[in-house]
Amino acid sequence: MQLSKYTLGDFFDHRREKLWRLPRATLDELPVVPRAIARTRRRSNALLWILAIVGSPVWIPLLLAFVAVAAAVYICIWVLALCVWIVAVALGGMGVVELVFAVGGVVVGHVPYVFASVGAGLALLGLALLAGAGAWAASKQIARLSALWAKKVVSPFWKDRGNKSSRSAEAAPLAA
Amino acid sequence: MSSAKKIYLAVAGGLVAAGLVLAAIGFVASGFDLAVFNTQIDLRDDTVILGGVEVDDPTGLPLIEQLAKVGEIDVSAPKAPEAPAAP
Repeated sequence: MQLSKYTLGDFFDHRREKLWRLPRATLDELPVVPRAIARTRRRSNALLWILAIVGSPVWIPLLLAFVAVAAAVYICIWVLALCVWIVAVALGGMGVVELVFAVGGVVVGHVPYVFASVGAGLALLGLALLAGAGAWAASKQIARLSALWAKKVVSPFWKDRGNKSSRSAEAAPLAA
Repeated sequence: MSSAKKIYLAVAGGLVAAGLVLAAIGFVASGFDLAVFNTQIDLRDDTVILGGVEVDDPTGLPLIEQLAKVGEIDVSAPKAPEAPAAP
């Protein structure tokens, strides 16, 4: 029997098959939260609801804090990628402004300034392209990292055991 | 590495190299004066200095002309009003 397709909500759905009546060895393969719910429900259905209601002042704030921390880490990961892109765009903008200043140097007739400005502008544009390549590579790695983080976050509630090959493929570039 | 990526990196590296060479030529042509890399637009007294040379009239200089027209922007906090005289 494949348990990976079952989620936390299935344990509160009476129309589905009764997972809380599974053998103990099978229950041990479940993620932490569904396993705790199933074990409690094996003893008493009423006990589960009593614990859920009485313990709600504890588990609801904990759940909210968990969601907040998970979202904050996810946002921080993507802000890191955004920062690299901002650096690349800023370098490109500086390069364009330097080239515009070089046109001013041509109008004034200040030849060394024209050379210096054109040189600085081209160098900054080249650096912007290099930074853009780095930002693209960093974004791809961060996308993989955020996917791993999302799986880590949902792991107490949902176990993805049918996709081990793709998980190892995602982790391989990060390990390298 | 794909050929497109190689071309991209070659263009980027070429731009950096060409830029450094041109900047070095400008530096040498200015007589090793670091001010050649300096661009100063002072809106307080409307002075524009490009590469150590002051420009009297910025008309016709792209971007610099627009910046020079902005004028001085006072970002200091407004002064507190005078306290009323005691009766």
